Amino acid sequence: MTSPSSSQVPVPAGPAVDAVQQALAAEHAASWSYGLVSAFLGGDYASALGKGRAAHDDRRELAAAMIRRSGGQPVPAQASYQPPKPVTDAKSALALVVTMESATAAAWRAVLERTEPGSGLRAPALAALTDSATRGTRWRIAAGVTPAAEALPGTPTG
Amino acid sequence: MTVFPQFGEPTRRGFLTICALGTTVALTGCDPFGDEGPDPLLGMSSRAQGDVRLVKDVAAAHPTLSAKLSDIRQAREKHELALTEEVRRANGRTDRPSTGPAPSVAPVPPDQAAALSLLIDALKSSEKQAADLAASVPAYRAGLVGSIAASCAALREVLA
Repeated sequence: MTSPSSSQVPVPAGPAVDAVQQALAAEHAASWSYGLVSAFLGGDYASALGKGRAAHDDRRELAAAMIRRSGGQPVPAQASYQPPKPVTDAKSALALVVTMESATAAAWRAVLERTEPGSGLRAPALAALTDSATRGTRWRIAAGVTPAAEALPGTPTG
Repeated sequence: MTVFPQFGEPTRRGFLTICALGTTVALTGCDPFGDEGPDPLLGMSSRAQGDVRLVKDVAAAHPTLSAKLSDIRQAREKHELALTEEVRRANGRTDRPSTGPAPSVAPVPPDQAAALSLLIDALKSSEKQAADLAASVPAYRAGLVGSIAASCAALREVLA
C-alpha cells in the first residue's frame, strides 16, 4: 500500500473539510470493525475481510492526506469503538460489517454534496461511495439481508 | 471505549441546508427547459425506465431469475422516481416531466447467460452515465446522482 502522492490529492475547502473529516472518522471505525469481526468469521471470509480492511485503510490514508493538504489536522483513530449492537457470533459480526459499509457510503456521499464541480473531490468521493456500496452488497448477500442492494446507498433516510 | 462517531445528524442538517440553497438556485436561474437545454437528469430517468423494461423482459423470458431480478427492478424504479421528483422540484412542475420517447429496449436473448450479460451491460452504461454527470451537477444534486451511480455498480453484484 503506497501513500497517495501529494500532487494527486485534492484539497477540500469550506464545508468539504468537515465532511472529509467525518469520512475519515467513518473509515477509522470501519477499519477497526474489520479487525474485530475477523475473530468471529471463519476462513471462508478471510480473503474478503483482508481486502475490505485494506480498502478502508487506503481510503483513510487518502482522506487524511486531503485534510493535511487543506492545512488541517486529520481526526485520529480511537483506541476502540463501541459497535451499535454487540458482536458475539458470526451473524452479529456480518451485521456490523454491513453497518460499517453503509456508514462509510453515507460519509462519502456527504462529501459529494459538499463539493463543487472541478474541485477534484467528486471523483474520489464517488469512487469511495461506489466501493462501499459494492462491497456492502456482497456482505449483505452473505448476511442474508434484503434487499441485497440498497437502491440509494449512503442516503440518510435509506 | 468511545461510541461510534455520529454520522447521521450533521449529514441531515447539511443536506437540508443544501436543499434550501438548491431551491433558491432553481427558482432564480435553473430553467431545465430554457436556454440551457433539458434537465440532464431526464436522461438518467429515461435510462432507469429502459432498465426497468429490460429487467421485466428478462424476467419474463427467464422466470428462474426472477428472484434476483426483483431487487434490480425495484432499485431502478426507485431511481426513476427520485430523479422525476428532483426534476419536478427544480422546475416547480406538478405534472410528470416528459422524458421524451420511450427508450428502446433490446430483445432478450433466449440464452440465460446472454440475457444476464445484456442486463449487466445496461447497468454498466447506466453507472457510467450517472458517474459522468456526478462530476458536473451542482452540489445539492451530486449526492443523488452519485448514489444512483453507486447503486448501478452494486446491483451488478446481485447478478454475479
